[in-house]
Amino acid sequence: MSKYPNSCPSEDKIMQLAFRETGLFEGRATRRHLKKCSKCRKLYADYFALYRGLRHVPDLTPPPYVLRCIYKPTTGRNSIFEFARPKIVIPALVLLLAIGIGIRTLHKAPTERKRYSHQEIVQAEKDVHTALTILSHSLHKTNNKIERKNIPLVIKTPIQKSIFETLHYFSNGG
Amino acid sequence: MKTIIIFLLAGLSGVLYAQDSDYLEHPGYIDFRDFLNFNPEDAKTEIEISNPLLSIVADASKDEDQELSSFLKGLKLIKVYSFEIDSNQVRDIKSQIDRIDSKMQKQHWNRFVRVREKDEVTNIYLKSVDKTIVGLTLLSVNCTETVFINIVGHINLDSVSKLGTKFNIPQLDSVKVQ
Repeated sequence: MSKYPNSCPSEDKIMQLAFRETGLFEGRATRRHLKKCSKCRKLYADYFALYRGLRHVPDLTPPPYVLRCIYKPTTGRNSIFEFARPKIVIPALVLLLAIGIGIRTLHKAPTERKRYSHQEIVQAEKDVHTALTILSHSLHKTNNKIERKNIPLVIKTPIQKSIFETLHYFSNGG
Repeated sequence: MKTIIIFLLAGLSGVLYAQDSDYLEHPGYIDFRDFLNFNPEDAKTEIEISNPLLSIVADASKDEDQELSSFLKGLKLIKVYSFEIDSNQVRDIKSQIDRIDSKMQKQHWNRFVRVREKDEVTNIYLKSVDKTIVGLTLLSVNCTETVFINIVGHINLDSVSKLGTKFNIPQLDSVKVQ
């Protein structure tokens, strides 16, 4: 049985009123009752004093570095949720998409070869021959100079020698 | 976040662009415009053939000249500029070639021919990566003409040796291998 008369509001309601947890109209009846009930008023006064006292208690949240020390061993950096954050997931998806498009495009490249007209190909063949002729001409002159002056041409590797022999082939007109 | 997306889009566009001009980052490529004070439009001869056209030419010449075809097959670019000059320009071009020479040697191009006379200079360079020739450059000037050639790509040594045997190319007596 409650220690208050039946007409008195419950202790929870008085506490909510004291802790400012009731709405404007919700606490109206309780407030009216407090005006005529000394017991409830006393109870309200006690809770209100507690409320005021609690408001002046400094913030008990530990500083961030202490929190980090506490949470780090329990949550851990390798938690799966660490990687599921949007900051990491979105760039990763964009990166995957870009790689996918890049690979697909490169893969498709040979099939999408540009078509050239017969004239363009014939012109390109002429250009290749002109280029090799100019190269040959320059090499031929260079070779003649080397031989005329009897300068021993020193080549460091057999690869260079075979290249020079190939160029010599072009310099003799093939 | 924005930065990451911009970076990725830039990278992607680079990948797409690279398909058309993938020789630009090739170790055997030289951009003569970086070194020379010439306008390519003034060239007597300007040839720039890259892939896929170069591969098509290689395929087209397959029946006529197999070795030439395989020689062209591995190439990515053939670039030739030749300019008509007068004798007053020779000194300036020689100094330009000297500047290129030092830059190319810093980029690990191996100059294996250098002929220098009063009014003439010819330099030939090779670039090799992992014992493979990936580029050839020729810079030449005389009193009437200057020539710049850059051949980019894998120069197939098999086809080189076949060329030598097939056409009975005489060995260069002046060439000594160290």
